[in-house]
Amino acid sequence: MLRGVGVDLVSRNRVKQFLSRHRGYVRERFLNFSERRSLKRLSLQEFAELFTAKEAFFKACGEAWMGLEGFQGMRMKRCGGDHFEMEWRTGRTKKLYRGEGHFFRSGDLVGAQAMIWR
Amino acid sequence: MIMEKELFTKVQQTLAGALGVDESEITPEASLKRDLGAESIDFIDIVFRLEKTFNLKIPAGDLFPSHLLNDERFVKEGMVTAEGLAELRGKLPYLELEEFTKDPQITKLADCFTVKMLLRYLSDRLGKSSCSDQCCS
Repeated sequence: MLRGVGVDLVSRNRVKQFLSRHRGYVRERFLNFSERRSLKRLSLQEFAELFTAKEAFFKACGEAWMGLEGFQGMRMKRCGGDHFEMEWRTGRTKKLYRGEGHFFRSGDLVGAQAMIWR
Repeated sequence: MIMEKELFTKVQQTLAGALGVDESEITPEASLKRDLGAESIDFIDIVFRLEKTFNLKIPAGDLFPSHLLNDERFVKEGMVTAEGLAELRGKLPYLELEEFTKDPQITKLADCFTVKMLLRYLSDRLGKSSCSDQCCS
């Protein structure tokens, strides 16, 4: 049974602007340990996809915005092509969400849609 | 100690830079999301910019109540409970919850993140006891 759906969309231009100001902060406060290791260069595309995937997944979970702490707790796994899987163990209560999603692109926009199954 | 007017001006400049809106649109009552169009990446941008502008670190739980909202005592079936509201008032005194309490859907909490909330928070962090009416009027 489908438990939740989430979609997120971000402009590549906005991401470029954001990364040009905050690349160091992003590495330190947005990425988790394994992302810091695997995304050494952190390209605009990599960050845009990671961000939209996490944001879409978070919307599918129906949780309140958890700031940077929440984003760091999410783990995304690329599954080939535009498909990804996601897992999120939230804060202190350790509620566990698992789901999957896909990326899509149109012009300047990068997006992700995520689904959580009960 | 930073003056109230100066604080407001700096916050206005910071938000205008992050959100691409005119400084005149940034009033104390404006909701970051509903009125100024802030989206998730903007919230992060705002936090980072405020940290740089005021040379401080803003822990996640300070402005956005993630640690409270993970607690099942405080949120049930998408609604903040009475106990949750009391906790929010106690832990995040900068939030204005009057409107929110009428329909405390968790997804609407972001509407409470206003410019005034930031001013109060920063005022507190920067060593002033409170943000006066002059600053937030």
